[in-house]
Amino acid sequence: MISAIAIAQHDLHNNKDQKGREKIKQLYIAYITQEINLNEDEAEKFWPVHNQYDIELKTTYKKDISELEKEEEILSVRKKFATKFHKIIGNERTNVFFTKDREFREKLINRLRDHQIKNYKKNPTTRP
Amino acid sequence: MVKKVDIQKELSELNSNLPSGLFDNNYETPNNYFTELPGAIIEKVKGIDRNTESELEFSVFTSGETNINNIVPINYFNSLPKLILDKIKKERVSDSNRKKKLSFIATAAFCITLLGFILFFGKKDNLIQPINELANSNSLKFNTIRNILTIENNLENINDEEIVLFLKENGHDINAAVIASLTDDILLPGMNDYFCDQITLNKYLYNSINQ
Repeated sequence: MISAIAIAQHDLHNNKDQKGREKIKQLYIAYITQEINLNEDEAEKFWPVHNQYDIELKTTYKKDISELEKEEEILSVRKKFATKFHKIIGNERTNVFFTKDREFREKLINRLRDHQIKNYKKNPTTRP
Repeated sequence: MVKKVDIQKELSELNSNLPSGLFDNNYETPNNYFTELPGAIIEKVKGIDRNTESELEFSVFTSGETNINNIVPINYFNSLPKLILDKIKKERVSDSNRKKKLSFIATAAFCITLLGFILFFGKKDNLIQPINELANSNSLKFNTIRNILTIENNLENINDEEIVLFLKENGHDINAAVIASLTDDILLPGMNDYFCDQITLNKYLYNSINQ
């Protein structure tokens, strides 16, 4: 009985996490679509390629290799997909895409930081 | 034409067995009927009907002496069932029209209420649903995506844990990233804090004077 409840709670927690990540992913797509000004045709071609790009990057992050090798591999993935993006949205907007991609992550980090500062100001005993 | 009086006289002379009074006139015309007749015809032609149904009914039930056959319009009783049926049909048609209108209004009200519920309760999650479709398929509701609120507003609704998980998945060292982005403004007192503390204020004044 207890184990069943524990499993259910674990599943629930996983589902919640999954839903949260899904939300962020959706926001990311909205943000990028807006920032690089994708039209409907471009978006239909761009996002499937981007999904592949995302999968390859995540696989690289998980690899058990040295940090330097990992960074090199990530760079090669980016270069490889830059040429694919270039064919769909052109050179200039591909550069904008990489910038906005980084900015989105920075926004997430800033959002974490802001909340931690707020919490600290409410309760100074909690060090961020 | 032979006059009625002459016929009676002739019958009595012939010693006829026919009952007397057979040829009495049972039908009497209303007073001044023939004098008013030309005027009444002209009025009818002009479209003014003096003998309305109510007038007829009134005269039927008030004057016992008047013969009913002289008052009721020609073919009145023949056309009466048809008239009644027509009236019933009209009422039925108007009733069914009213029912249709009511059902239409009720359906419209139901649809509006349902739409309101969907928009009110389903808005938060459905707001970004089209984007999900975009990510998973080739279909795209482009205008909906463009109308999405600013990213900062949306990020406010997401938990810290969810953000951390997302960043970790994307190869970020969260602690390093957050610490790097943190300035020392949390640890340092603010401008007002300096002036609250007498010792700090003295130090500040001393330093600023000496500089």
